[in-house]
Amino acid sequence: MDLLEKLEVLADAAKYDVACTSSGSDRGAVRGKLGATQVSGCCHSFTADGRCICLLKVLMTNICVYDCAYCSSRCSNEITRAAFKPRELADLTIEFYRRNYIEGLFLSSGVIRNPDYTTELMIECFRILREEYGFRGYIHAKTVPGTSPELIDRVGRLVDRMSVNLEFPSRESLSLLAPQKSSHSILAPMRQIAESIAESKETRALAKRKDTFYQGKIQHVATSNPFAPAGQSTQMIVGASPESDYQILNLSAALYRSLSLKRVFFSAYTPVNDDARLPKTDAVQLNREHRLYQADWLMRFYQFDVSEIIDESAPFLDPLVDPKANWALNHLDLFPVEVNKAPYEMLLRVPGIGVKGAQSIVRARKTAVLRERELRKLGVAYKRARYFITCNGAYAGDGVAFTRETIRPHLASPINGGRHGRRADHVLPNQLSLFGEDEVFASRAPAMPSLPAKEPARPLLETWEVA
Amino acid sequence: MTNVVETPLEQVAYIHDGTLEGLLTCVFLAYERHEAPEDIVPEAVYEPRLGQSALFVETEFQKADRVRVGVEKAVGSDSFKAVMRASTCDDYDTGITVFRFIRYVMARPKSARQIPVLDELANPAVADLLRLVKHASNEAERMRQFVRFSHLENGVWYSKVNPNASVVPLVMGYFAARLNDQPFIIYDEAHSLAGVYDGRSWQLVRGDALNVPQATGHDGLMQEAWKCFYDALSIDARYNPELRRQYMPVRLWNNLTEMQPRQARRGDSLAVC
Repeated sequence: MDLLEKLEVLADAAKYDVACTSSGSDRGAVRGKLGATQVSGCCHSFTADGRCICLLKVLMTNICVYDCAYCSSRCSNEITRAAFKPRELADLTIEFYRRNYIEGLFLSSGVIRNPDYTTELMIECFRILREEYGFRGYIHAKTVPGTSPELIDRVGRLVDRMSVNLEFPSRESLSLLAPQKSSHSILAPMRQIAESIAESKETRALAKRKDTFYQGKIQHVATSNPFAPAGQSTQMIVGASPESDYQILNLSAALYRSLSLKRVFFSAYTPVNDDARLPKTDAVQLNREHRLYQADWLMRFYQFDVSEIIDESAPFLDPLVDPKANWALNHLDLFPVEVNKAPYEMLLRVPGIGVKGAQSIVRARKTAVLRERELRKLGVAYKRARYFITCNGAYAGDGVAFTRETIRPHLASPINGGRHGRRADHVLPNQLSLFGEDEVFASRAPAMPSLPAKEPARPLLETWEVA
Repeated sequence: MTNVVETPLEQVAYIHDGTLEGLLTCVFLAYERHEAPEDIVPEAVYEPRLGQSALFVETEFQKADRVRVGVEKAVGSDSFKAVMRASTCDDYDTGITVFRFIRYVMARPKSARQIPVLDELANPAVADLLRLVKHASNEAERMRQFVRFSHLENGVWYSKVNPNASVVPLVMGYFAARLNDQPFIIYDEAHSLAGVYDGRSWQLVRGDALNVPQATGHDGLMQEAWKCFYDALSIDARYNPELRRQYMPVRLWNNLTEMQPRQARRGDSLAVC
């Protein structure tokens, strides 16, 4: 099998991994060595589905001893199998990097023989890149569940970001759909990585301190490599199991809080296998994934708590109104806010004003009074923000009564997924259809196979613990 | 040198050579001649307005540098960096926007100086400049994303780009740092400007005549491998070309390796990868 065929097989098998980010790590260039990383990361290309390519995202091998229901590389599928030699993959990474195709390597793998053997192959590739070639670009390692702690520590010292796939939002779904992976084999490495990152940060902060209180300057101490300086991420499949958005968002909030994750990725379930345990649907829940990401952004950048975004009484996010607008509509007593006076935290809560918009408003209002014209120029989505603000005392949403029912239609916006693409909602609600209602909305809540022994939902990390 | 004071012209356009120094010389002359030019534009794109007279300005480095010093003294080096970034834009109003910004900061009262001038986002003189800065920064980011090097037979790595602002000088430092052990050329065909890195330092070369040797055979293989990887990574069920166009503008595609036709491969019935 030549290199191109191998690459095709192993990239194709890796394409369902969502996390393709090269951010979070800052490693300046050094003369004589190849590569550098910057905190913001860099996307180098975009595939026909609009997703970014910033890393060489491949599997070490798609040979796998596991038989997970949702995975195209599961051992019961008859597909072409291939494996990279560690040096071959390291060389390919360098070649692509020199051509500015990529920011680095994203390496995941099927389980060949056992998790430790697989991880050793991956480590050999990272070692060649970092130690032999002096590569300073970005490396993301996907940890195989069940890997020994010693090997995880070795990986962490070589790469920028580590991730362990949670796969599903609950332990029950995991044991149904990925029977060979236990929740312990996933959570234990996540914990270990989180602790190692925290410890490594602390040690390095101490070693890098410039002076002490009594003695003045101290000598800089050489430290070992930082452990996964770009942090840890995870991903879960949405729509292949019956968990609600409420459970998913509470789980990701718990992960951010207790394991200090950098990102939790959601992946709308795409059918690749014919399996009785999986929902029988062709529709990919892209709109649901979109709303989940919006909620995720609110938690990470807009200082929202998960309880403000979703509650148990309405466990799915509104498909017509984004979660921020939904929150604002439910808290009209806090609005309208005066853009020329309101604190930054409150500006962040106004629909139509994003992080950059809020920062611009705070800067601009030091020297000018902001009205409609100015706000439009600052990059604020004025047509959405107007119902929630006053400009120099005057309510901006004139002509529309300040009630939930009257404002809501102005904020309702269907997710525009482009004219192409098999987005879940091609038919607008209330649009006349040749098919029945059920069929139209079937895509939004696909029929789920029932889970055995469904216990009441406990939407915290505990649902993930071994009982 | 004669000290004849000329009568200020009413409707005048200043024409410069398209460099930052040329533009700053124009700004200097506007002060020197007590004129308010209507346009400050490079010679290559100049289109006279009705009744407008043109003044061809000879670039003088000392005068340009006095403008730099003046701006930095008045409002700091960050503002001058913004001027430099803005001046890379192709917009017809780039020159006059820079001029208006400099005129504003030089006339700004001392009492206003606690607040950085670049925070005055609602002031048209500043906002217009920042619009250009944003445009140039976005285009520079696109170059960091979409420059594609190929390995030539003489050992040099070569990339051809077509940005809509002359941003090669803004990204040369970035590439020279991360790819510091490989000599490379980034040639901007839209502005006939090449950034050349020889393995130690980089410089800009202006000109159209560029003889590029052939790429190596191994480079061809790597290009095919990249196209192969690109095709394999797309998920059909999520096909969304509008989104791709939004992030990766079509105007840049003819210099992108992955958007070039695929070579027929052994065992393929069609000429696709």
